[in-house]
Amino acid sequence: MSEDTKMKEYAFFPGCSIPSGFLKYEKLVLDVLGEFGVSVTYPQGMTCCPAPMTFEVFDDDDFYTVGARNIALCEELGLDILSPCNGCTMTLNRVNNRLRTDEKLKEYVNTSLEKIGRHYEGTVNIQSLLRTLYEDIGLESIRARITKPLSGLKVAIHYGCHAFEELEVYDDLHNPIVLESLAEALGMEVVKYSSANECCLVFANTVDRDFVLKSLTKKMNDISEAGADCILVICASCFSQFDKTQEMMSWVDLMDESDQIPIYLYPELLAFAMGMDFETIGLDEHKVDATSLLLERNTG
Amino acid sequence: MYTRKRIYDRFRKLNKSKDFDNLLFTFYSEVMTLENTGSMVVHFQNMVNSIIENGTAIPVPTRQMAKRKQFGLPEFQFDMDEIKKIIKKSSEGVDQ
Repeated sequence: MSEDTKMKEYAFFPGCSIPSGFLKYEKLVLDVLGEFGVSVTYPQGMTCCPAPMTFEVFDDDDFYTVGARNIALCEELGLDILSPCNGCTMTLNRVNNRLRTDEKLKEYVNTSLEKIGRHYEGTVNIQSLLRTLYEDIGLESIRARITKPLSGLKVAIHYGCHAFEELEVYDDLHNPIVLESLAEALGMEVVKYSSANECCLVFANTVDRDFVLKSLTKKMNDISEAGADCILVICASCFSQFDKTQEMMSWVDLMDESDQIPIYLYPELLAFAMGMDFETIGLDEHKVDATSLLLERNTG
Repeated sequence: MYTRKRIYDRFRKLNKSKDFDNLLFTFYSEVMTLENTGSMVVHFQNMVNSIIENGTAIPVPTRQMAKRKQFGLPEFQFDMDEIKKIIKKSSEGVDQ
């Protein structure tokens, strides 16, 4: 940690998908944040944020009550919330923004929370890991820690749908630069492709696998034609979708294995550029080979 | 099966449409305006039930929580009690 970096503490809201299948990534996120002086505390007794398209489909009141309870846990800690999950960030911000301006709904929610001895006030803010990297840590601090720049590496960026509501607050929704700037801070060259904003369709896997495979084949073709060496994401669900679906595309002859494109979560590439080893980063858990591309740089 | 087939057919038709932008929220709205949204509604209801019963929409197995120490991660518990007291419906009686 650099001496000029002030220690900042957040309530860490990991969500469900990361604790269910990305423990190494969760640890890496904590390690990277720690390197930049950001510390976290896990609130006890969290529930699902609740995920988009769950309670809000059936009952708005329950949606806001469950979300407010999670925020209330962090208010009890007196800490702003940091989430590595774009979906959680979106939901908790939706709940917070609505309850801060809708007194009647806030009163309803607090009547429900009284039954369990809790209270929502609206005193804490919620932000994503992406925003923390960009605003709290900043490009200069990141550049200062790079020992293995990823110069010349061409990267295609996929934000993930749930990132966009927050991006509207601190970036240009239609022409975002946050992840692009963070990639460039590591020395990478960002390539543009036409389907960059299209959904990874992770939620549609159980509904129509053929549709998913066809749509992602188009997206992967766009990325390949743009000349990208790799794909960069900030969402663990998007990561999983691209990583596992490419493997599946090869099984069903929609893609040659040699054409698979490595996919990285931003903290993984940041950790590599800061000199962390592959095992710590967790690249061995990727389905698509993610080490060879970086190994060339490790030894080069 | 009939419901699933209708949704499959709708998605295939959408995939051929030049007007469909493949954005998530457009997709959500398309799904919600389908004549028969049964399968998706069941899927969403199952997630709600999981949140009420287990605290999470995506199941986080006990063995996965037990691994946290091994990975050097802070231990925590998901709530499975308080949530049942603050929402209108319990998951009982709404299983599909």
